[in-house]
Amino acid sequence: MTPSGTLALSKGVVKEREMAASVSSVYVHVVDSVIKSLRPEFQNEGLDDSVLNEVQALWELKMMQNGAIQGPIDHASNSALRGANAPITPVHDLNVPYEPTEEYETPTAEMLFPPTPVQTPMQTPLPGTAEPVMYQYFPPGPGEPLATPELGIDPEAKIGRPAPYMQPPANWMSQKPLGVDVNIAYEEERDEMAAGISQPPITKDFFTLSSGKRKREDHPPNYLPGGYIPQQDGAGDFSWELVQSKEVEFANQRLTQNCSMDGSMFEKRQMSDPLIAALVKAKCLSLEIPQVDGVNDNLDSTVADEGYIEATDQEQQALNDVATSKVSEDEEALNDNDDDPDDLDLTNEDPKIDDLVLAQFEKVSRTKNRWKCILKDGVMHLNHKDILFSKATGEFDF
Amino acid sequence: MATFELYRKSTIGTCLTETLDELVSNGTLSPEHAIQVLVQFDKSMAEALETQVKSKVTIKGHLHTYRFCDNVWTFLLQNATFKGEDIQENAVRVKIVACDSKILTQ
Repeated sequence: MTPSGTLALSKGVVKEREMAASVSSVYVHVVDSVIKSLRPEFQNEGLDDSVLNEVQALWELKMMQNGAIQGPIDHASNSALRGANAPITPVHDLNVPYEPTEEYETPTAEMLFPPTPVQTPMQTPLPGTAEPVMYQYFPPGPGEPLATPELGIDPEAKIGRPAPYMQPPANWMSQKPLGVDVNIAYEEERDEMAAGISQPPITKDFFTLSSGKRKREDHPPNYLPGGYIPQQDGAGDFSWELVQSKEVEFANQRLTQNCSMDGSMFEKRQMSDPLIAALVKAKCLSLEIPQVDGVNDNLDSTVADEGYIEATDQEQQALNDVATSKVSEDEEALNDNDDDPDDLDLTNEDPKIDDLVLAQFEKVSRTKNRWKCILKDGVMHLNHKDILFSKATGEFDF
Repeated sequence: MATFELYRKSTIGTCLTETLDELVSNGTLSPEHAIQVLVQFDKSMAEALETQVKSKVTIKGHLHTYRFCDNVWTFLLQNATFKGEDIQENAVRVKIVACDSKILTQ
């Protein structure tokens, strides 16, 4: 199926793929080496083997999502048995109920919202694009010999390598991100089905979020003034005017109820009614959560009432004072205008610079404004691609 | 054996850290074990780069900023080109972080 596609590719692309393959194989080697070295240590500490399997599975999955590891190249290429019918394997293996399946299941939530959207297209095998051809065709390549020593390990180690079986499904699942809504529903369903199985935090978040919404929709009209935060983001919205009128009504009601036995008290209360109403209104306007049960506690007399209102005024003024003093301070001190925009671009490095080289230096020298450096054992991330080098020479002019 | 934590910032390293974060936060892994994994990654990554990688690269570009602090060189390059046997990449801005290779051999 692939040869025609491969032939159509330019030389450069092929080269690039070879390179990516070698990067993948190095990464796979690192994963293997880490897991292999840790297994005895973890076993000595009485830690379950499945933990390391989980680490490996998630780690590889994340790298595939990132495009750092390409397709089923790694462990799958280990066994010649599987090479030919790679697309079929996932279907069978999906139904095998061994543990690591769960690990592959749950992160699909992340596939729906990939961390690096730019790279997502690379993972979505669309017919006719160059990328998917690579996934299926990708030759066993250098990854093979690196991983083979693992075969000699005890059978447990084999169980501990779910990756070859599950990688194709990962690809296959990554086709989904297109219809987001559908997938969310799908995820939820899955949650319910998989209830009882431990879920990583992300899926849990989904679940609580949706159930929270449902709750609110279940009883929208029974607003009790004290006990909710009004929704303003969807169909269940309601206006602040409604709250205000309800507040006032409610305050009046309670006052009448509580004080009807004592006539003089009631008169007093009636006098303070407008004040209370005004207070409630003010509170509503300042977008606070209305607290009505405080009415009885705080506002026994008009004096207390006034005092309370005054206090808020003072607070307001104090806040204003702080704000103005801050502004004046800012004007005197350094501010954004003092920044050199060119500098800012580079010194606020992290958000702007995606391209990164991590290496070890052997020698750095300078003559006048010409810098020379010799680097070794580097990992580069350039234009969303990973490139490794054993040696690099740099010549920069400052 | 001394190792650099440098490579944890690479793609493979960040993928591992995210993985460990997840497993620690859902209780599968203890933080101590997560650190153990990271330390092993430092070793394995350094070893793999040394033994598995053979390619050579030349880097050219305008040096915008340089910094040498705590034995770590940081270069911020503008309009850099990276050339190797199979690669030719350009980057408008790129950051190079390099640790002292002698520290590892000591």
